[in-house]
Amino acid sequence: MSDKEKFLGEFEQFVLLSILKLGENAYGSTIRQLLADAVERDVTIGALYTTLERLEKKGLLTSKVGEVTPERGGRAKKYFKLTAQGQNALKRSKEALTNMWRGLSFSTPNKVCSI
Amino acid sequence: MNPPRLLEKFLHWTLPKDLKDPVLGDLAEEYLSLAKHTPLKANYWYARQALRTGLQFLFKTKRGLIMFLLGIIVFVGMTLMAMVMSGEIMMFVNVPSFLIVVPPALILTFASSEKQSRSNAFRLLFRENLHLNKAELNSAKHIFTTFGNMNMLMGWIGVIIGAIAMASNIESEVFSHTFGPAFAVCVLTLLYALLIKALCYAAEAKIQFKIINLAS
Repeated sequence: MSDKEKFLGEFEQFVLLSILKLGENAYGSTIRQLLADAVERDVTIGALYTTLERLEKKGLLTSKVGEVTPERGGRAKKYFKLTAQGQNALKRSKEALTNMWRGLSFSTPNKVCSI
Repeated sequence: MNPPRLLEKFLHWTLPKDLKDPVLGDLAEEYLSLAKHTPLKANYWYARQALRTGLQFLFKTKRGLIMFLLGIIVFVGMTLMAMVMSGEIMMFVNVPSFLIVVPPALILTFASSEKQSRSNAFRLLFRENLHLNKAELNSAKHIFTTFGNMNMLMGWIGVIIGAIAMASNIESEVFSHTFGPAFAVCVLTLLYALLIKALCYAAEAKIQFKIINLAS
C-alpha cells in the first residue's frame, strides 16, 4: 500500500463503518439509509456508488452480486464486505484521530470540554 | 407502484453497465417503501436522486456524445452568426437551391446503401456502447462519405446550372443590376452542400476514431 492510500477521507470512513455495522446486509440502499440516519448525510446513490467503486479499486472492500427481489423490479443487489486491508485502514484512521484529539480541550459559551 | 418511468429510463441511459442493476434496484426499493406512506414525497425524492445521479454519470458515460453535439451546436451557431453579421439571414434562404442539393443526394445515398449500414451509421453517432466490427464501422462511415460527396456534386451541378441560366438570360443593359442577386442565388447550392459536407465529415471522423481504437 502506498503512503497516499493509507489515509481515508471522512466520507470514506463513514462508508466503511456503515458496511461493518450492516454486516451481511450491506448494499447500496441500506448503506445510504444508515448514513442518513446515523450521521445525517443524505447522499445520492450515485455519489455513494462512486465512493464504493473507488474503495473497491483500492482493495479496501469486495463486492458480490446478490439476490433478485420483486420490489427491486427484478434487479440484483450488490453486497459489499470489508477486506482485511479495509479494516486495517479504518483502524489506522481511528488511531490517527484519537492521537490528534488526545489532550485537547476547547471552550463553548457555557462550559469547557475536555477530550 | 413503480418509479417514474421517464426518470428511470434517463438513469438507465446514463449509468455504466455494471451499475445499472444495483443503482436502479436500490432506488426502486427505497421508492417503494417511501411511496407506501407519502407518494408525492417519494416522487420528489426519486426525481432528485435520479437527476443528480444521472447528471453525475452523464459526463463519464456519454462524454463522446456530449462533445460531438457540442461541436455541432458550435458549428451551427458560428455559421448562423456569420450569416446574421453579413446582412440579412433571409438572403441565405432559397428553397429551390436546397431542393436541388439535398433530396437528390439523399435518394442517391439511400439507393447505393444497405438498410443495416444506414441504421448503424446513425446509431453510432448517438450510442457510445455500440460494438461493431471493422467492416460494419467502415460501411457505416461510408454512408456519411457518400452523402457528403453527393451533396458536393449536387452543389456544383447547381452552380453550373445557375451560371448557364445567368449567361443565357442576362442582357447587357441590365447586367450591373441583375448579376449580383442572380450570382448570390446561384452559389447558394454550393453553400448548402458545403455545410452538409462539413457535418458529414464530423460524423465520418467520429466513426474513424472508433475504427482506429478498434485496431489498437
